[in-house]
Amino acid sequence: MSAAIASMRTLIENDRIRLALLALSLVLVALGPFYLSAYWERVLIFVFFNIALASSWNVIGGIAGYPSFGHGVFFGMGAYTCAILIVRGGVPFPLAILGGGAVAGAFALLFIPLFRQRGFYFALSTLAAQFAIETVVRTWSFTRGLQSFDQGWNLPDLGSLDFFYWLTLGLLVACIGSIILMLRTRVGLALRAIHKDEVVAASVGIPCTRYKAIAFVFSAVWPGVMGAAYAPFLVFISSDNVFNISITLNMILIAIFGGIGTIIGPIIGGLLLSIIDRLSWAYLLQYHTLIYGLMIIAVISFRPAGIASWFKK
Amino acid sequence: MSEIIEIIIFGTLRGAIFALAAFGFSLVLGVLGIVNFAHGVFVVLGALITWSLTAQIGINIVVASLIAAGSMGVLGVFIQKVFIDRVFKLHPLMILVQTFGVAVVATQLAELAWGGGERSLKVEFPGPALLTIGDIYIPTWDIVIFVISLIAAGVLVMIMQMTPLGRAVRACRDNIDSASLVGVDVGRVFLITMGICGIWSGLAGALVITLKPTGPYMHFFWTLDAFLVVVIGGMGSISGALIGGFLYGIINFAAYYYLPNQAPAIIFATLIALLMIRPQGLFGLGTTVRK
Repeated sequence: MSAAIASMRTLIENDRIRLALLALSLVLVALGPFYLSAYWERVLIFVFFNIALASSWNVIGGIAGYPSFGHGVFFGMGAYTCAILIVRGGVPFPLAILGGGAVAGAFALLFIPLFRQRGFYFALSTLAAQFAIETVVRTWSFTRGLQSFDQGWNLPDLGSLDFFYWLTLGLLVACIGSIILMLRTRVGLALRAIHKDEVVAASVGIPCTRYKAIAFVFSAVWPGVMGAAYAPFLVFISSDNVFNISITLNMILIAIFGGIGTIIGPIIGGLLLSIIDRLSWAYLLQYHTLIYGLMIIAVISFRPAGIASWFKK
Repeated sequence: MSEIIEIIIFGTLRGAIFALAAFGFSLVLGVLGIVNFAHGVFVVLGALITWSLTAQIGINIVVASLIAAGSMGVLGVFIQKVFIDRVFKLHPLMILVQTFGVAVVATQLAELAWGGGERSLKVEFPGPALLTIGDIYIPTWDIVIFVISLIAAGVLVMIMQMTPLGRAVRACRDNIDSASLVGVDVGRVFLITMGICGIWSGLAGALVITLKPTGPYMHFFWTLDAFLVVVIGGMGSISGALIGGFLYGIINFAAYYYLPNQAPAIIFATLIALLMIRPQGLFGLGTTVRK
């Protein structure tokens, strides 16, 4: 009994140390623009985007166990919504960000019928949806597709690099915070039950489809918000850079690389993969994609629980 | 009217290649119960190896195709033994991402070897270049490839139906636990299945490169095509994949003929619709995938 209490205590102490470390590193990161060069500031902004995207994918793919291969669509949709609202409607930027999230979330509702499938079939259906939507965006005149002379959207300059640094960091913290909060509610419990065994979950009265829909919309809203913030940061967006399948794949790879189904996993994965990515771009350009692929195979073949599992005993 | 007939004829001819590329995919989905994202690699590498052996070394194309198909069989066994086997018991997502990683690495290695561009192979063929049926002209080579695909399908059906090996594979497809209870070495059947998958898909690649330029980056389209064929035709059965291939060939040809810009959207929307209505395929065996 006393041993159990002692181990509990060390756990709490560990948690306290962890919280302190977390707060310290957050402050250090938040003060980044004061000591980082513009190059590293840019790198970190991309890291923030990557972590936020992977964390939101993790809600449906990791925690609920429904691997969506079409999540990049919501990011692209957020970016396009923001661009269209700002360029066509002159909507202020904060409203455009909310609009991006709202459109992505509303669009996610259309995916609900796909929840009748599981595993491979769900993955392939969502992948097909991604390609279908990408084709429509690419060729529809409303989204400025087809004609080569006006493909894509140019956005006005909305803020300095520092502004986007704090904006994306703020959105990232809000995103992860909201995920942690959501997992503490009934929704989180239900999702974990669905992941374990959906038939059992349904048989004890958990309305699976409703919770899966909530999780899916939730995990689509954040990519929409991030996409809306991404569009003016990139200044020029087109279907090639925001609807690209590589955005979807990056979300999945980062979440799995770090540790699927955990909060810390996408954070570790986003940091490590982005840094390795930068280094191999800089020094081993020809082998860059090869290294990326090898790391993914290695982690899944030998550490399927991800890098985060190294820190747990 | 003749337009529709032309679409059906050309779609069916092209569909035979899709079917040939999908036989292995269908078997692997039926027996192992997994989707192999590296499937298109077999097709693309089979094509490029055939190109190298024929255009660079000067080996007869028939021999070259067989060598290419055989080496893809070895690659299939290798991928199963070294990679898929390790994560087989985990969530299907892991296999998807792992085989995707394999596909990325294989594509990168292929780009180092062959470059990122496309290659094509022109086959000198005795006899007339075009056949006429009524007022429709059909390239003779397309018909030759159609016949080769049908023969390859026939050989696979014979192996599956008449040999002890085929019986073991079919047993695992129907019920893996019962098969292992009556003494089938399931692990070995998995290896053989992946080997067969590699051989037949590699052969499809060897034929494809004589029809249209093929480059390493195209592997993902072949994986998706194979999946579409299997979704239309039903998994696990060779005849289902064959019919699925023909139907997909016609749909594909018609979509690109009438709406070239929107064709991918139409094709993928068809895929989603089919997955929702009949996930076991139009001519499926009635079983759905285990994972």
